Amino acid sequence: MVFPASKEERFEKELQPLLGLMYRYALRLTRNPEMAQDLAQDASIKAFERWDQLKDREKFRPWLLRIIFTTFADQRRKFSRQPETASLDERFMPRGREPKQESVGGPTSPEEEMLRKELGSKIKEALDDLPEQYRLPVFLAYAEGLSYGEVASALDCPLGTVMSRLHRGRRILREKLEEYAPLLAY
Amino acid sequence: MVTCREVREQLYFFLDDRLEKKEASFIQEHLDACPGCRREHQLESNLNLKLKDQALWEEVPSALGLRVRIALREQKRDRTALSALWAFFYQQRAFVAVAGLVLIALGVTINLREGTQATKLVAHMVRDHHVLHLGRGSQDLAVPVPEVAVAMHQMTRGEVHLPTASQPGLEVLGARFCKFEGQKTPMIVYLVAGKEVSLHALARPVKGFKGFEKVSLKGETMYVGSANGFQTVLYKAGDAFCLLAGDLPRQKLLELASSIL
Repeated sequence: MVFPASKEERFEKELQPLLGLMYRYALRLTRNPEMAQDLAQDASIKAFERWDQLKDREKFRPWLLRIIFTTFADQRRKFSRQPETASLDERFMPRGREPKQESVGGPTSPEEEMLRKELGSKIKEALDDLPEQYRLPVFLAYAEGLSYGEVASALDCPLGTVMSRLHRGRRILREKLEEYAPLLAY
Repeated sequence: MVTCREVREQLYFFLDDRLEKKEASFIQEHLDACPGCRREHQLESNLNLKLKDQALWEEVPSALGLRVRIALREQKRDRTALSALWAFFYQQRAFVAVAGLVLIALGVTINLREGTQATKLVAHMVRDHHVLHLGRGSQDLAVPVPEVAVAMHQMTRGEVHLPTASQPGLEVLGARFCKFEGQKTPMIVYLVAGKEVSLHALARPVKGFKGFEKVSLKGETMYVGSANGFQTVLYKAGDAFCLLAGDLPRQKLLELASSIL
C-alpha cells in the first residue's frame, strides 16, 4: 500500500537538487564548512515553514537563497564563529575537487596540470576575498549560473544595482588575478 | 566607431549576452580588428569558463541531506507532539523533575577536573536532547549496535553513512554531530525509535565495539564498553537511553552517568 507523501517529503524532494547550491552559497557567507551546514540546515527549516507563502513555484531557487541570506544576516555572530580547533577544521575544510582532465584547453602535461590547479584555487581565493556585496552576486551569476533576475531576487536588490555590483565585482576579480593573466589569456 | 574604452565598458554585457544584436555586432567588429581588446576578451571569457567549472567549487557533504531530513522530521514530530506533550509530561513528571534538576545543576557548575571534558559533552547532549530514544513506554529496547559502530568508525574518516531501517519497526529519527573539546573526532548520537527490542543485544561484541560489560550502579544497569578508542557507557534514563562517549577514564564516565540518573 502506498501512502501519499507528507508535506515534509514533498518539500525535501524539491530541496534535494538544490542542496549543493545551498551549501556552496552558505559557504560563501560563513567561510566555515561546519557553519555552512548549520546555516543550510536552519534555512531549510525556515523555508519549509514559509513554503505556503511562496506563490510562484518558478522562484523557488532564488527564494531559497534569499532565506539563506536572511537567516545568516539575522544571526551573523552565530554563523561567523571562528572554528575552535585547527586540526578539526583542517580535516573538514572543503577543497575544490580534482579538476577534470579535459575541462578547459584540452589535455595537459603534469606541470600544466599543477598550474591549472593553482590557478583554480587562486580564482576561488580571489572571489572569497571580495567584499560580500560583490562576492555574492558574482558567485551566484558566474559560478552557479543564475540569471540577473534571479540574482536580484535572491539578494532582494533592484536589477540595476545587481548589474552594477556584478560587473564591478567581476572587474575587481579580474584585477586581483592580474599576475595570472598570461595563464588566462591563451 | 567603437573605442577600446567603450568595448571594455560593455565587455561584461557582451560576454553575458545582454547586448542588442546591433551593439553586439559593433563590439565583435572591434574585437576582430583589435588584438589588445581581443586578448582582454579572451581572458575574461576564460575566467568565466573557469568560474563555471564545477571542479573549482566545493562538493556538498553527504551528511547535509540527512541532517535536513532529520531536522524536518523533528520539527514535524515537535508539531504533532505538541498536543501530546502535556499528557506526556504529566505521565513522566518524576523523570521530568529529575531532568530539570540535572539541567539546573549542569547550568551552575560541575567541578570534576578530569571529567570536565565529558561534563561538557554530557551538558551538550542533555541540553540538546542528544539521547537515544528507543521508543516510548518501559519496554527494554536495543540500539542497532553494529550500525552505530559502523557509523562511528566511518565518522573518523570524515564520512557519514546511516543505514535505513535495520530491523522492521526500527526507524532512525535523528543524528547529530557532537564536538567535544579535546576530542579530535566528532561523533554521531542516534535518535532511534522502535517497537520491540532487547537490551541483551547490546552485550554482543561487534566490530569497533569492544564488548559491553554489564555493570550495576546505584541499582541501575549500565553497559560499559569502548569503541574506536572512546570509553562508552550505555544506560537507560527514564524513558530514554543515553550513550555517552568520552576520551576519559571509564570510572569518570560512569560517575557522570550515575549523576544524571
